[in-house]
Amino acid sequence: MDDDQTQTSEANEQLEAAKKQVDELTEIAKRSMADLQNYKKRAEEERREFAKFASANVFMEILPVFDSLERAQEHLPEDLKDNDWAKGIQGIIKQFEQIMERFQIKKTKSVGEKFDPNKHEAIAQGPGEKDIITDELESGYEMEGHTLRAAKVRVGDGTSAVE
Amino acid sequence: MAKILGIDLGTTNCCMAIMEGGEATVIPSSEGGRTTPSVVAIKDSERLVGISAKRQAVTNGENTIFSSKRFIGHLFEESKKDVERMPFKCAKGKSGEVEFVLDGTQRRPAEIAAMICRS
Repeated sequence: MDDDQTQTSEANEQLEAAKKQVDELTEIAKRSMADLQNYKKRAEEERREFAKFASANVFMEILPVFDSLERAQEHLPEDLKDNDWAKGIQGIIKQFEQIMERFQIKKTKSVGEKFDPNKHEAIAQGPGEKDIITDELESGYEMEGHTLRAAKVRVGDGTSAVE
Repeated sequence: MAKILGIDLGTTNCCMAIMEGGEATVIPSSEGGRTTPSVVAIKDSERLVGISAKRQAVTNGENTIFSSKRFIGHLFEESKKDVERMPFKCAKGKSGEVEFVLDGTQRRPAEIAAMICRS
């Protein structure tokens, strides 16, 4: 009789333990499912973002070359302004700008604009209207409202140039 | 089942990652970067954290807090030399520790760290 009771009690304990384990495993399965769903959503979002900005990443690599071309254009000697070869180089710069336009990459407006740390990077401060950009040291670029590179600028400190 | 979050609270940059499938996955900041500059600022009553705070530092030195980690756990009296070198104002906290004066309000270094981690 005692043996029967002991066996029943042991069986009940085992059943309880098994039920507890099933509950725990069910909980883990539910959480894993939720984690998987979240992961899928995030992966999809990342894939969309990557596809959108993949061209931007390539552009960022080429950008220093374009910067150099622009600087070269800014320092074109007076006596070469009508030179056909120099005009050809200017044509190449224009071609580059057209490609950027096609990919919806825009130059960030700077000089005369209010300084915005989301688009501009202040390198120096000097005479000029407070928080208004007085000079652009390096162009900034944006794509669909996303800053690819902040424009490096000089910002007015509210003092006058002539003391 | 709790998630494991790792925080690298750096003097210059911060980074956070979670464990996913046995591997660490870096959580990108709201600006899309894998690390966030450890900089907090108040400009025109708006709180800026990370890269945007860093970009405006030149124009707003007094209200841009950086390198805050080096002051965690330090008393104001023992950090006077470091405090003097900073463009922002520091003050003595209730228990004698260093606090930063951000837009007229005293903030503890740990509060600054929390602002960076939240971004």
